[in-house]
Amino acid sequence: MRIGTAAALAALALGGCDWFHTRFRSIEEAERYRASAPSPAPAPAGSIRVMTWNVKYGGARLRFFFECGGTRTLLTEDEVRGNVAAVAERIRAWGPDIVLLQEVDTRRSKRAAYLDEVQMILDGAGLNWGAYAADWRADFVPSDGIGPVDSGNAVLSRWPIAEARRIALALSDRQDVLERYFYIKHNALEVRVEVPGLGDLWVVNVHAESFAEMGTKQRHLDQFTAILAGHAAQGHRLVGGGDLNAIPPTSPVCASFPEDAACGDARFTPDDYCGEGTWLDGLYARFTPDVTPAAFGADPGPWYTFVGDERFPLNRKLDHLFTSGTWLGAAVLQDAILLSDHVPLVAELQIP
Amino acid sequence: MTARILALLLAVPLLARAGEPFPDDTARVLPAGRLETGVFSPLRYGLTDRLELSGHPVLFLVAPNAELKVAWGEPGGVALATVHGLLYPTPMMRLLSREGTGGIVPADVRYPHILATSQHLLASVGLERHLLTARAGGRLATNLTSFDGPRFWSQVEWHFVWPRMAAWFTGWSLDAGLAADGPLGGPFRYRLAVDAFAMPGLRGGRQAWEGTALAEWRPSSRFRLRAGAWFSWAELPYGSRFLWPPFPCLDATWGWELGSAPAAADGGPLR
Repeated sequence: MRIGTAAALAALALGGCDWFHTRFRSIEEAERYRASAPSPAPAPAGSIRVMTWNVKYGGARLRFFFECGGTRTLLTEDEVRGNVAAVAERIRAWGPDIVLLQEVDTRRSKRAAYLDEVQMILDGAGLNWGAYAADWRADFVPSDGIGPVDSGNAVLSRWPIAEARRIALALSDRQDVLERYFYIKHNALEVRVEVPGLGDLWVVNVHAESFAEMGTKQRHLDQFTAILAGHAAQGHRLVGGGDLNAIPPTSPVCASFPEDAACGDARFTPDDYCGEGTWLDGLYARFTPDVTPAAFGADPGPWYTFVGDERFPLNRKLDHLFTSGTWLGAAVLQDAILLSDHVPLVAELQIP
Repeated sequence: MTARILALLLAVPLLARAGEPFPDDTARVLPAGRLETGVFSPLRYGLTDRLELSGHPVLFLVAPNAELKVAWGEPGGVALATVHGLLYPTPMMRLLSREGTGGIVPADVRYPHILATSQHLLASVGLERHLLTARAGGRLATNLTSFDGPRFWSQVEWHFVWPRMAAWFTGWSLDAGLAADGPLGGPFRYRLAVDAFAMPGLRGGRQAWEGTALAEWRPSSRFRLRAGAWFSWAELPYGSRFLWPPFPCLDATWGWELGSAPAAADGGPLR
């Protein structure tokens, strides 16, 4: 069989084809999940516990090709099952009512051994409803052996999810046309949870671009802020958060983190947040954060949620939760450091 | 008994229809001494009036391959041929096991030594000025060394490739097809084909269908230009996919008479 490869690539580059199904509409319905064995969902008493966690697609602390000294691309089935079970068990142990997950893969991801991590975590965590929106979806990524991938954000809930939408965020400008076609397309996952005895709770889960060049990350943060502000303007009860890939303005370090500075891997791009000090200002001005910049600056250690190498202590706060209401308290579960490169952040939302 | 089989084999060249250019994907073979090659299509050579040898010369450097088509005559007006292929894809797959763009297989996966064969029976029958060809057969493969990690790490899960490499992972696969080609008028011709693939034992995708619609411009027996569309529906580990829009096909093929056998008259439809 003869293939007009050049013609095919030209057509792809011209944007007329989506043979690899990587594109999204600006707003789409999110994919829905139900627990295999739903558990009781009583009305909340006094507070709603919210957790956000970037779970690194069940890769735990294995070193992947984009990490310092990493070589791995794919996981074995046993690795995924073991790591995801540990993540789910950690969530179950803390008993959150709402969980915002980032970098969670579905059965369409080769790197996750074609296992549905959303369903596995939903079932393992003892929650009942879920919504998922891909931010990296391609039938085949012809780079680094990634192959088929479907990874993104999920919101898991004890209570029914009545609405769930994927809102596309700005596309990255860092790559050429072909690379951008296959690259991550970030989203904000917006869901409406029907909380018994309380009414609607809107939850917005976001994973912002990692790198600041060309302004993509800032646009993501601005879009996220605008989505939250839109809900607030309508008087919605609201929680928003996720992996913002941004640090509080009072962070003592903004670049040359110890594990990055120790890395000599040419493919590794170290994080640098300097010059981004005002990017979260809009969120801090309008909403209640899990920790204020002042409180964080006074004692940042307990609020750190990330370190690229588990041999170093956690050293930056990339994960955040905001609400239009009041947090009764918040904590970072730093002992989960071996389950992902992020650790979970939990906050208690006050309800009437 | 042996003498009767030998006699039959020797008689076959007298029965087989040869002497027509561009007989690829049919039960007919190139005439002895004719050479054809294309931009994407393989190099073919008519060894005798019943044996045709082919292979992709560029691909051969990284994936040694060869096919032998044997014509078995036209009993009852139905041309019969068998096609026997051999492929050693390991060097190519190891080239594609790399970091960065073009890394089809992870860089930390060492591809095993695989030997793959294909065996097909083709039957072509003329209907007026058109030719109908049926094909059935399969692929057999064996890995001479172990897979590095789970087998799915070495798979390529996309249209066209997935059904053709299935046997590398399961040991065997089956396929069948039906094609029609014929004149459209003047130097223009058409080809329509549908192919089905069965890949028992493959995790997450066990069948695939493909369709081809091609238009040909054949101004002489020395040149052919083909353009058209290649459709695919496949079960893949991430779900069933229909390729839309279809994959474009474009190929130019040239032919030469290197031996003494005369070519078909230049221009005009075949048959």
